[in-house]
Formats: sequence, structure tokens, C-alpha cells
Amino acid sequence: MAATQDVKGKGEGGDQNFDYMFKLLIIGNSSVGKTSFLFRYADDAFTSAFVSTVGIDFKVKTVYKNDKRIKLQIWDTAGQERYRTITTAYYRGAMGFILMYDITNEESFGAVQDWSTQIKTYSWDNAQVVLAGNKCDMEEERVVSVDSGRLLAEQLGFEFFETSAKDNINVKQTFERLVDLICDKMSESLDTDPAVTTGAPTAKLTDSAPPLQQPGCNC
Amino acid sequence: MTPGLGESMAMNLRTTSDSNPKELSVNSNILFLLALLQVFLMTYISESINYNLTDTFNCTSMTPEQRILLGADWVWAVLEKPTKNPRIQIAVQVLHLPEREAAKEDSYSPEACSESMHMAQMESSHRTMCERMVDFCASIGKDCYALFLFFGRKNDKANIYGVLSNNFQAAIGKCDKIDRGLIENFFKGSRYLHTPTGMLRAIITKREGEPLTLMIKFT
Repeated sequence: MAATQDVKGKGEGGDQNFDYMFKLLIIGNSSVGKTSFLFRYADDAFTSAFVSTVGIDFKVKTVYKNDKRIKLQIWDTAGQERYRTITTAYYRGAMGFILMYDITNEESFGAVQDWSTQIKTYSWDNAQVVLAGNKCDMEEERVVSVDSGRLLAEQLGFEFFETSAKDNINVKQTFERLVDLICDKMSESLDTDPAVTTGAPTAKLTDSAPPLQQPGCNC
Repeated sequence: MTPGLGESMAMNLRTTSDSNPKELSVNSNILFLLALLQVFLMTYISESINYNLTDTFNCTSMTPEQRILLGADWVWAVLEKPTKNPRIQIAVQVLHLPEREAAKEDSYSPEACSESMHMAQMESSHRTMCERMVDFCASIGKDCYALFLFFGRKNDKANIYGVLSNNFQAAIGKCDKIDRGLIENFFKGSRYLHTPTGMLRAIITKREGEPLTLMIKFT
């Protein structure tokens, strides 16, 4: 499936009436709350029952930005090591990542650097990343400070939010910020590389992230 | 257990309410198939509680999208203590008698598909459902088995048979494709049918990394 955008009117089945499609991934250690985060965003639902994700799954959500209809294909990945082969196969073509840790779990925070390396290894250079410290409703069990999270995000060049899928804190904002970052990067790429608008392959936009077909991103 | 199966049933029930007679027939078949899966899973849940196995053994029903992407209807796991990470997994795909299998395929027709299911099909369209599950298991390793369950066979429509292997991928390259025909062929060369208990014993006592292929009869 094409990873990205502007396939309006093409293909069969499903709702093809959109201007852009962004492929996003949520990654991070097991049990940090990736699935709950996606359920909160896509279905506005939350359950405290823990079911470990098997392999990979996804949901679709449409958002609007500057009169553009953007379809988000959001992939929920299993955090366990045994699924690493299958999950990293889906990094290809992703335009954005939410890299999640659990503020009550030091190990999940310590793994952020490794996850960041995975993004660099298996994704393309222009992929945007937001670091999310989830479960911020559990203040009494906090072991990772807000400052530590923010500092690490700065070092890695990522945006940062503390979030709670349970209390619906910063969930929508995290996705909205990621979409903004992707749109900014698309506009920037178009400004610096006119070949993008003609669909010619470039060093910046490879086949893993199909080039734009419109002369500019106004999203 | 994830809510996937329930969601799937609800979706098909909704489809039934505004369908034509042909679709009603297809949908009643789908409901029958889903009811069988539901019966199986409910039996599993009650048995695992009876035997106090909830900490050592679990079963995850796949979402409709995961069924298409990974080819599995559900995944059993023997859990490691105390991490509760899977130590052994058995991904199950149910194959029905050909006439019922047609109804199952129809359940993925464009009319019955949600947008995300359509996307999942696009993602996986170059491989058969059997191949997707074999690939999924192979991506995890030799401690993940693919189990194809036949709900009835031509000469015995009342019983359930299965072919289990952690080595189906060996067929890739040797055969045109991995499909029902190839899986059924395993019975032709087999004189011995394991019981479900025998199957579990063989899996647990097998040496790490060794291939294992078994035929099973569930009475």
C-alpha cells in the first residue's frame, strides 16, 4: 500500500475521498500504553484491562487541516522483542512515529534511545518523531521526571509530551503535533527540492515515501 | 482476549439488517462460523479458569484487521513466569469445508469490509491467507507454530483436524504457494494422528530450534 498522500479517487473500496494519507507508527516497550493511546485517540475509549498486542494492528482516523482531509493510518506495534522482525518491517514508509515510554517504568525510558536507533535504521530520514511519556495520571508512581523526558527529547531532536490515555491528557495534541511536523517537513522538502513535485525520485524522498503529486502542501 | 471477535460479530450483525436474500444467506453462514469460533473460545476460557491456567496460558483473538494482515484467527501462548512473555505460541487459522470457506471469503467482500479491513487487504494482497500466517510465525521463530484447523474434512465432516508446524516456511520456494491444498496434503503421508494433549506434549518436550510437524485429530 502506498505510504502516503493524495490518492484521491484511486483504488477500490474504502473511503478514497481524502487529500493526504499519513502512515504513523506507535512504538515503545511492552505495556507502556500504546494500544490504549490509540484506542483513546481513534475511539475515545479506555479500558484498564491489559492485553498484549500480537504482532501489529492498525486503525484509521481522518483529520482536517486547512481544509485538507488527511487520513491517518496509525499502526500499533507489539513492544515485545519476539515481534521485532515483523514490526520493523512496517517502519518502511512511515512518515511519523510516536515513541512512547511509561513514566512509572524506568526501563521503558531507558529503552527510548534504542527505539530511536530502530527508527533511524528502518525508517527514512525525514520521518518525524514525538516522544510521549504516558501514564502521567499516575503521579504517585512516577519514576521518570518531566525534565528527564524533556531533556532526552531535546537531545534526540524530538518533540515531547507527557500523556495519559486513561485521563485523555495530551492524546489528541500529540497526534496533531505530529501531523503538523509532517506537513512542515513536506512543505520544506518541496521548497528545497522542486523535483519532488514532478514525482522524480530524489535522495530525500525515496520509494519508501512516495513523492507528492501536488505542487505544494497546504495542510 | 481482545474484543476483536465481538466487534467482528457485531459488524456482521449490522450488515445483516439491511441485506438482500443472497447476502442474508452468506451472513448466516458467517454467523455460524463466528459462533463456532465463539464456542471454542468460551470453552477455552472456562477450561483455563477451571484448571487455573490463566497465568501460564492465554489466548488472544485477533481483530478483523489482524486476521487479514497476519492470517491468524487467534493465538495461543504458553507464558513465561514471572514476565508473562510468551514462551511458545500457536497461531491458529481455521479452514472450513470448501462450501463454507466461500462464505468466509465473502465476508471480506467490499460491501462487508470496513475501510481499515480494505487497507489491510491491500497491504497483504500478494500472499494467500495461509502464507501470511506462515510468514508471521517464521518472523517470530521456531517457538511459534502455525496450526491450520480443519472444521470438517471431505470424508469426515463432523470432526476437527489440524496440521501444526514451525517449519511451513520450508515449503516456500519448493511449491508455487502455500494454500489449503498444500496443507491438506500433509494428511496423505501421515499414518498417525496426535491427540490435542499429545500435540502439546510434543511441543513442550521438543528441543529448542528443532522443526516439528504434526497432524492432530480433535474429537
